[in-house]
Order: sequence, then C-alpha cells, then structure tokens
Amino acid sequence: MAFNTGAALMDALVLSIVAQEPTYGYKITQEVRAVMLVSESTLYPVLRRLQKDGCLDTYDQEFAGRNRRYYRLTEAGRQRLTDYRREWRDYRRSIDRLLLGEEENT
Amino acid sequence: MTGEEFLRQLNDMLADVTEEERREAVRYYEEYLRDAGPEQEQQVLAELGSPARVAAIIRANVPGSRAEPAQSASAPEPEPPRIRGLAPDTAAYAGTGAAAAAQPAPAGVGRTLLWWLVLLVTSPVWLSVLAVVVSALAGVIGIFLGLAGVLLAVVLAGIICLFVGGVFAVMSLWGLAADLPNTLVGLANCLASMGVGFLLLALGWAVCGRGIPALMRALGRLLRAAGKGIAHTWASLRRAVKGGD
Repeated sequence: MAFNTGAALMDALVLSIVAQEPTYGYKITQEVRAVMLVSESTLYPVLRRLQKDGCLDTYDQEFAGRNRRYYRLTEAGRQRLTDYRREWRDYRRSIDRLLLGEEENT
Repeated sequence: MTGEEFLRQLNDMLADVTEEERREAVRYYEEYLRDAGPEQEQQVLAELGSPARVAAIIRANVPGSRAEPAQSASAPEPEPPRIRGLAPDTAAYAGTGAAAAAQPAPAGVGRTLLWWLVLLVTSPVWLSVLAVVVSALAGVIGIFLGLAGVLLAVVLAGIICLFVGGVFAVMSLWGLAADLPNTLVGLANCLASMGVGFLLLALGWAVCGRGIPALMRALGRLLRAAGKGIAHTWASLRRAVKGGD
C-alpha cells in the first residue's frame, strides 16, 4: 500500500519524469503541475529527499551563459521507479474494482 | 517583493538549518526564478508564498535539514497533491491548502529565546510576587516557632519552680527545729511554688506533647501547599509561552 500518502505518489511522478530524460527543477515542477494541483514550493523537498536517498543525481550544465542544475536517475532510483510502477498497477486495479465495480482482468 | 528580496529573506529564514541545505535551497530557488523568466517572476513569487513559508516547508520535509536535534512539532506539511479535473472546486482546495500552510512555526531556538525574554521582561512582577510569598512564609514560620518557644518556656518555668520550691522545702525542713512559725511559712511558700511548678509542667507536657507535633505537621502542610502552588504556576506559564503559536 505504498500510495496511501501523497508523498509516495509525488516521488513516483518525479522519478518517472526524470527517467524520460534528465531535466531541471523548473521543468519538473511544470510537468507535475500539469496533472496535479501542487504549490510551486512542494517540489523542492521531494527532489532534495530523493537526492539524499540516492535515487537522484545532479550535475550542472551551462545554459544561456549560466549554470543550470540538472537531475538524473541513479541505478537505485531506477529500481525504486520500477517498484513504484508495479505498486501503482496493483493499487489502480484495487481502486478500479472497488470504485468502478470492474471485473478483475489480468 | 523582488526575486532578489525573496532569496535574501529565504536565506535568512533558513538560518537554523545546516549550511549545506541552506545553500542548496537558495540555489534551487534562484535558478527556479531565473528559469521562470522575468515576465513570470511576480506570479511565481505569489504562488511560492512568503519566504517564511517556503523555509518552513523545507525544514519540515527535508530530513536532516535542521541544524539542531529537536523537530518543531507544529511545522506545516505541504498541501496534499490534488488530481486535476477530479472535482470542480479543486482550485479551492489548492487555495485553502496554501493559506493553511502559510503560518510557519518559529524555530525551537527562537522559542527558547522568546521564553527567556518573557522571563526577563516580566521579572519585576514575578520577582516581587516571589518576595512577598517568601516573606509571608517566613513570617508564618516565625509565628509557629514563637509559639513552640512559648510552650517550651512554660515547661521550663514549671521545672524551675519545682526545683527551686523543692530545694527551699528541704532547706526549711532542715531548720524546722530552730524557728517553727517562719519555717512553716517558708514551707508553705515552697509547697505553693512546687504546686505551681507541677501545674505548669503538667500543662506544658500536655500541650507540648500534643501541641508541638501538631504545629509542626500544620507547618509542613502549609509549606507543601505553597510549594505545589508555585510549581503549578510555573508549569502553566511555561506551557503558555512554549505551547502557543
């Protein structure tokens, strides 16, 4: 039951976004805000926590004459994302069954 | 507020987190505002909220960020994420979430300082109250001791009367043969004195035997009650300053 806190879902979304391609804080925030109503100040602690947990790595890249910090997935982060995706499938299936009255389809 | 001002205040608000966290956070938001672009800056700042709020969210949600061991119990959680399109008033949720999280708790260090400041400022009040209480207690103790002293004096007087009377009785009996009338008067005086002595002793013994222990017990009860009252007031005061937000 990983997703009974909002924090876990946030972590999963951020990891998934970064998995597509390494990217920077502002862009990650905009992508999350496309699907979720969160404050712009919500993401930083998530990114920082994932970084401290060893799921995300940072590097600097020059952009328009100044440094920009990019986030990328580590091996541990990749593994955690896989776990989250599996958990999400199970979770969604349970919710669908309960909420939509759907038959279980494997 | 400009972006520069925001970052400067954020840096100040993060004074109680580790050096590393403070640097990282300020850098993150500095880049964030730059990536948002100057046209968006005011809008982003409005969305971010006050530097104090952003700092509180960091303190509460980044593990190991605090420079001091104790965690503030009333730091705000970030608002739970809401899925877009789920309900017509999700915008309202985001709004109330932002407003609810807008009041950061002062840091643990700040609260201890506040407590000592309150103590200092109100010291004339509580010092004089303490002085009154202490002198009242001293007065009461003095009275109790005085009463006990009186009782002891009565007992001593009784003993002395008895002794003196007894000595003279023996002395007059000795001179019985020489001068009978004087001797009889003398003897009468002595016996009277001895009688008073016995009376006083009996009185003193009875009162002392019961009275002094009872006095001491009463004194003990009084002191304990005063002590409890003082401790209770102190605890309530501490709670009022430390518990309030």
